[in-house]
Amino acid sequence: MTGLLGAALPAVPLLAGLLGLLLPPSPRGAATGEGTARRLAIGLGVAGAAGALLVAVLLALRVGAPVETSATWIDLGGLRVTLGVRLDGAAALVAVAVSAVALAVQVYSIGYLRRGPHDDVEVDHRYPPYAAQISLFTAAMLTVVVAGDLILLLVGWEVMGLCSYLLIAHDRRLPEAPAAAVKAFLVTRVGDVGFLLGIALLGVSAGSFRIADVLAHDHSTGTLTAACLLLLAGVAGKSAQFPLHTWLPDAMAGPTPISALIHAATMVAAGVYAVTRLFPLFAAAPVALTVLGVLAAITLLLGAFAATAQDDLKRVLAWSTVSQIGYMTGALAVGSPSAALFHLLTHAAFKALLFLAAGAVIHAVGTTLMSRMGGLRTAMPVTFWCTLIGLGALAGVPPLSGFFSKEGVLAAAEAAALDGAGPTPSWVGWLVWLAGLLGVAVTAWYATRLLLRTFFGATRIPLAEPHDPPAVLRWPVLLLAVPAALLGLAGFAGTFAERLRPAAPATREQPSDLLPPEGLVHFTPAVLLPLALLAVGVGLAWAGWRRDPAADPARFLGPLRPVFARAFRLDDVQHTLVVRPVTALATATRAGDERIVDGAVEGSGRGAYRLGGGLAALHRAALPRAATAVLAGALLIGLAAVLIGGWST
Amino acid sequence: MSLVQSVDNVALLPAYLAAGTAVLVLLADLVVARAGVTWAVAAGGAAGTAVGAALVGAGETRRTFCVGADCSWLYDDRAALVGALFALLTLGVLAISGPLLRAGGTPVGEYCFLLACSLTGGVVLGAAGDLITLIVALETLTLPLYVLVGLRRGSVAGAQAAVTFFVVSVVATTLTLLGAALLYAVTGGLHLGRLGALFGERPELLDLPLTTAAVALVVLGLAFKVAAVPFHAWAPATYDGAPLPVAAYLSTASKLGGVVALLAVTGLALPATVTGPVLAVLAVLTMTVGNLVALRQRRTVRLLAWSSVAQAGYILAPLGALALAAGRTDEARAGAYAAAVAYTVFFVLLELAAFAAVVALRPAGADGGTLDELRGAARRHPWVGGALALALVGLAGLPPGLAGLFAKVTVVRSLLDGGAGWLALVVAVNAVVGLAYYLRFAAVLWAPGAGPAPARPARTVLAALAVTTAVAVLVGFAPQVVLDLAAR
Repeated sequence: MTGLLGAALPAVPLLAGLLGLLLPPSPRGAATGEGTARRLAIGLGVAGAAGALLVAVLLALRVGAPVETSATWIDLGGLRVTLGVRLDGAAALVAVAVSAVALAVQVYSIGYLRRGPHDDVEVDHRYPPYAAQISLFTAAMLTVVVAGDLILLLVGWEVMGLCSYLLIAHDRRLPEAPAAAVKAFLVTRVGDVGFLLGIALLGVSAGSFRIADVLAHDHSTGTLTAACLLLLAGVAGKSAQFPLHTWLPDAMAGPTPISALIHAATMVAAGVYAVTRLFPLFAAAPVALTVLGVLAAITLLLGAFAATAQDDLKRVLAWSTVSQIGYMTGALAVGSPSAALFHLLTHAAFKALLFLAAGAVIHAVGTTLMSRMGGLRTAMPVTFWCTLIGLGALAGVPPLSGFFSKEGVLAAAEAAALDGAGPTPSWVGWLVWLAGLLGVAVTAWYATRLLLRTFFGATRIPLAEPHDPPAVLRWPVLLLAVPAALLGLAGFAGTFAERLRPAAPATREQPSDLLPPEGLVHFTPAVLLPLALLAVGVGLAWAGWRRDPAADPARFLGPLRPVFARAFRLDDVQHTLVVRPVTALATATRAGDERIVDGAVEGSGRGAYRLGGGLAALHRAALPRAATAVLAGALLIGLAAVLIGGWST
Repeated sequence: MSLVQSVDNVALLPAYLAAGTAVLVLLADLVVARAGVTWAVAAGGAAGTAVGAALVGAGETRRTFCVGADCSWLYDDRAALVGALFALLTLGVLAISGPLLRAGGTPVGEYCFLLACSLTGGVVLGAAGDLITLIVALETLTLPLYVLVGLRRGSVAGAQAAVTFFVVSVVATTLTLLGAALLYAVTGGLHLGRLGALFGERPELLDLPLTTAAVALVVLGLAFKVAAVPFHAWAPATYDGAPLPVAAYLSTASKLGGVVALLAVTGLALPATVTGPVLAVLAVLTMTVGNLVALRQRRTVRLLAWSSVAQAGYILAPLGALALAAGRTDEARAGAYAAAVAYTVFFVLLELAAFAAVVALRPAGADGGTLDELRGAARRHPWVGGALALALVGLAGLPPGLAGLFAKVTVVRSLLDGGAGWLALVVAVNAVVGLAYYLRFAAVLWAPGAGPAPARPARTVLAALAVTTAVAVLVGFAPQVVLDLAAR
C-alpha cells in the first residue's frame, strides 16, 4: 500500500501534465481568463498538485522505516534496471514540501498569468502548456524524490532539465528569456554528463542500478571517489553550486512563480536531495566531501556577496538561493545530511514565500528594480508582513524557521571544526563554519537592505497606485508564511528529526534504541555568535539607510559594488574560458562538416544519381540489348563459374 | 516396377481446381457471354483454388507420380503456401482488373482464361518434384503472360512489350533447358531429390566442369524469371507496356514463380558450392543496378519495375550466403531459405498493394503515367494515397511500413548468421539508395499541384487495396506468422 502510494506520488501530476499538454496551447480568450481550455488547464494543474500533496501527506503520516518496492524493468546482460520506489521519512517530507509549493505556484499562477487591465491586448500567456509543464516539472521532481533506482532518478532529473528550459523561456516578450533558458539548459547539462557517468560507474560496479543494491555493495575506494566526484558535477549543476551556478540568476527571466518553483521546491533542491539519498557513499569518499565543502564555502560567500549589490529584486533572491544552497551542501560536507534536509525544508517554505511575495510587489509596481520601489509598506501591508517573515527566516531571526535550520548547519560545522566529528578533515569544518558565520552577517545585511529599499522610505514611483494583490495571489503567500515562520519549531520534535535522519536506525546489526528520538536543535552558548553577527549585519544596513533613506546602502560597498553586482565577473570568465572557445570550435566543426562530411554525402548522392542515369541510358532500345544481355550474362557468368570452378569448394 | 501407377488425385486437387477454372471460364465466356459472369467464375475459381490448396496442404505431405523413391509431384506445406499465394494473387489481380475490363479494348473472356491458365502453372510449380515438371509449370505460368501483355487492342506499346518479353523469355528458357539436359547427361537423374542425393554421394561429380556449367545455366535461366540483372532488361519495358493489372501480376505472381523455382533447384537439387557464388553475384548486381536506375525513373510503372528488380536482389541475397562455408551449415541454409521465402511473401503483398493503389489513383483503363500525373493525388484521395505511401514506405523498409522493415531485418539477420557480413552491408547500402526514390514517390503524392478532378475508384479495386493493406499491416504487427510459415 505504501509502495503504491509512492508510485502514485509522481504519477498524479504526470497524468495531469500529460492531459494538459493535449489542450490547445493558445486558445482564444486564454489571456482574458475566459477560455474553457484555460479553465480546464487550471483545473488539471491544481488537481494534479493537490492530489500529489494529499498523497505526500498520507505518505508522511504512514512512513516510518524505509519501504522498498521494485520490479525488474530491463535486464541488460547482468545489469539490472528496476522500476520501483524507495520511501523513507525524508523522502516523504521532501515530497510534502515539493507538492505544497507546487500547489501554491499553480494557484498563484492563475492570477499572475492573467491579462490585467493595463496590459496590451496581444499578451499571450499560453496558459495550458504552462500549467501542464509545471505539472510535469512537479512529477519529475517527485520521481527524483521517490525513485528507488538510479536510472529512474536520472529520468526525473533530465525531465526536470527539460521543463526548466521550457518554463524559463515561457515569456516570449522578454528578449533575454530564450538566452536564459538555453544557458540554464546548457550549464546544467554540463553537470548532468558527470551525473550520468557517475551513475553508470556505480551501476556497473554494483551490477544493479537499484539504490539499495548500490548502497549495499562494497565499492573499491577509487571507484567510489570517482563516482562521487562525477555525481557532484551533476549536483553542482542542478543545485547551482560554484562553478556551475551562473544559470540561476539569469533564470529570473522566467515568470516569478516559476522562479519560486525552481528555487524552493524543484531543481535546486534536487541536487542536495540526491546527495542525502546517496550519503553513505559520500561518507565513504572523504575526498568528494572535501571538494563539496570547499565548493560550498565558496558558493555560500559568493552568493551572499553578489546579493548585496543587486538592484533587481528577483536577482537578490536568486543570489540568496545560491548562498543558502551553499549552507545545505556545507552541512553535507561536514557529515550532517539531516541538517541539510532541515534547511532544505525551511528554505523551501521561506524562499517560495519570498518569491511569491516579490511577485505580488512586481505585479503591483510593474518593475523588478528596487531603485524604483520604496514606501510600499503602507500600500501593501499583507505583502509587507509576509516578506518580513520570509526575510527574517532567510536571515535567521529567532524564532522563525531559518534560524533553527541554519543553527543546525552551523552547529554541525562547529562540531566538525572543533571536535573533528565529520567524515572530512577538520579544516573543512573550519572553512564551512567560518564561511557560514560570515554568511550570516552578510545575509542579514542584504535582507535588511531589500526590506528597507522596497517597503520603507519615500516612494520612488509617484504615479503608480500599489495595492495588495487579489485573493488568488494573496492566499498562497499567506499560507506559505505559516511554515516559513513556524517550521523551525518542528526541529524540537523528535519524530520529525527521526525522519530526517538517514535510514541508519533500522539496520539489522544496529537495532534502533528504545529511547525517544532526539530533536535536531540543541542550543549551546555558541548560538550567541550567529545572533551577534545577525545583529551586526542588520545594524550596519539600518545605519547606512538612516543616513540617507533615498540612497542605496550598497553605496558603502565602494569599489567592490560593481564587482559584487556582476558576481565577481564569473560570467565573463565563463564567457572567455568556455563560451568563446566552444563557439570557435563549433564554427570550425561546422565548416568541416559542411565542406567535408556533407560534401562527401552529397557527392556520393550525386554520384549515385549520375551512375543511375548512365545505367538507365544503357537500357533504352529494350529488345536487342535485353537479348544480348541475357546471352552475354549467361556466357560470362557460366564461363566464370566453370573456370574459377571449385574456388569455393 | 509396375507400369501402372496409382495416382493420388487428392494431391492433384489444387491443380485440377486451377485448370478447371480455366476451362469453366472458357465455357462461361462461350455460353453466357457476359463479362460479369466470366469475371465472377474466374474469381470464384481462384478463391476455390486457394481454399483447396490450403485444405490439401493442411494434411500430411502427399506424393504421386513416383518412380521408386523419386516423385514428380510432392505436395507439402511449402507447395500449399505457394499454391494458395498464387491463387490469392490471381484473385487480387482480377479485382484490380475491373476498370480495365470495363473500359473495353480488352476481351474479358480471353483475359480471365489466360490468367487462370497462368494460375494453373503456378499451382503446379509449387508441387513440382523434377526438373521437367518444374520447367513445364514455369512455362505454363509464363506463356499466357506474353499474350496478356499485348492483349489490348491497338496498343503499340503493348505489342512491343509482348515481343520483348517473349524473345528474352525464350532465350532464358533455352538456357534452363540446356542446363537441365547437361545435368541429365552428367547424373542421369532429373528428380530434384535424387539430384541432391547424387551430388551428396558422389562429390567427384562436382569436379567435372560440365556439372558446373550445367548448374550455372539452370540457375541463370531461372534468374530471368525474377528479373535479376543481367536478365532484367525486359522487365521495365514490359511492365510499362502492359496494362497495369498485368504489370502487377508480372511483378508479383510471375516473380514469385521464379523465386519458387530457384528455391526448389538450389534447396533440393543443386550443390550450394556452385549456386552460392552465382547467386551472390546476381544478388549484388541486381540490387545495385535496380536501385541506381530506379533513381532516374519518371514514369510510375517503370519506377515500380526497377524497384521490383532491386527487390529481387534482396530476395536472392540470403541465398548468396551459401557461397561461404559458414553459410552452408544446415541451420544457416534453413535460415537463408526461410528468409528468402519470407521476404518474397512480404514483397508480393506490398507490391500488390502499391499496384492496386496506383490503379485506384489512375483513370479507368489508363496506364501508369508519369509521377507528375500523381502529384497531389493523396490530397484528393487521402485513404488511397495513404495506402500507397504505406506500401512504398514498406518497400523501402522503414517504419511505419513494419512488414517491409521486418522483411529487411530477416534478410540481414540470415546473412549475418551465414557469415556473409559484406553482403549484408551491400543490402544496407542499397536500402539507403532505395529510400531516395521511394520517399520521393511518396512525397509527390502530397505535393501541391493541380490534378484531374477526383473520380471514384472502382469498388473491387478499393476492396483489393483495403484487404491487401490490412493484411500488410497485420503481418507488420505479427511478422512471426509469416516467418513461421516460411520456415516450414
